[in-house]
Formats: sequence, structure tokens, C-alpha cells
Amino acid sequence: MTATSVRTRGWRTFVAGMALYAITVLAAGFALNATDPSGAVRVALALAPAAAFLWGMSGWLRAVRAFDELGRRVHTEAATITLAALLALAVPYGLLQAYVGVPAPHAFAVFGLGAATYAVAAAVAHRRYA
Amino acid sequence: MRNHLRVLRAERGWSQAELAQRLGVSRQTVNAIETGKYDPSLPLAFALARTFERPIEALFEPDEPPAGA
Repeated sequence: MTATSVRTRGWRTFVAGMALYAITVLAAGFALNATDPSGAVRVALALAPAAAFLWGMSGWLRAVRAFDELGRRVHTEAATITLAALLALAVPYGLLQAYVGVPAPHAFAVFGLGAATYAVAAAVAHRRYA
Repeated sequence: MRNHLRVLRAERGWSQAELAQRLGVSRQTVNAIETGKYDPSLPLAFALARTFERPIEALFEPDEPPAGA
């Protein structure tokens, strides 16, 4: 299998996974509201979208691994910048949480911030080599 | 690192896309190497040397001469 076909299949899996994630978020939310289950069923329904998300992310990782060396470098730089930015925010925010009583951020907010930072960092890194 | 890829590619009448296809990399990678924005890995540098049928030192040379030279 060529690198191009691995990339294509990886991106397709990513797009399909994200679409399935969106569908399962709606379906699981509907089921939770309609039946209000408890215990393991509630946990399973709440986590169902995560399985689709992880499947999509596995495709994304396969696609990135199939990039050529410059493509991998661009994404490595983007990942490094994202990690540095999140850690740089986590330390002062953690101190504010501990000593000032600032409320903990929602996990989805952290995810959104990480994804947005990664997108910007990847675009900047890509442009640097263009 | 300086290189002579653009001249060698032009001598053969290849486009960046054609060279990229021969090397199995993206056109952006070829462009980044030609413009000196990206230094290729050793395996890719050797692949370039094989593609152009030249020794690797005929394709690339350091910006500064080695210390003591």
C-alpha cells in the first residue's frame, strides 16, 4: 500500500469517525434524556461517542504517520507548540485555582483550546516551509 | 545548507511535482529544499543523489566551510 493510499484511508477514517461522533453525541444525549438510566448503562451511553472519536483519531494518526518527512515535521512542530501553550496556561491557571478560587475549566473547553491551538500552529508551521 | 537542486532539475526538464513523485515526497517538500527552507534527512538526500545520478556532495554544500579548513 502506498503512502498516498494510507493517507487517504486515514483521512477517510478521521472524517467518518468525526461524523459518527456527531451522530452518537446526539443519539446518546437523546437516549440519556429519554430513559434517564443509572449505573453502568448511563456510563456506557455517556462514553459511546468517545469510541467513535477515538476511531476517527486513529485514522488521523495513521494519516500523519504516512506524511513525508516535511509533513511529519510540520505536525511535530504543531504538536510541540500546542503542548507548550497548554502547559504554559495550565500552570498559572492551576495557581489561580488553588489560591484564588477560580473555577476549574470544563474538559471540552480544554479540548477546544488544544484543537484550535493545534490548527493555528500547523498552519503557521506549514507556511514557514511554503 | 546550499543546494543545486533547482539547476539539476531544470537541466532534466522536470517539474517540482515530477521530482516529488520520483522521490515519493510532496511538491512542497521539494520546493522547501530548493529554497533552502528545509534541509532533507540523509535518506532523502541520498535518494536525491541517486535520482540525479550525482554524488551527494555535488548536490549539497555547507553554508560555511568546516572549522579548520
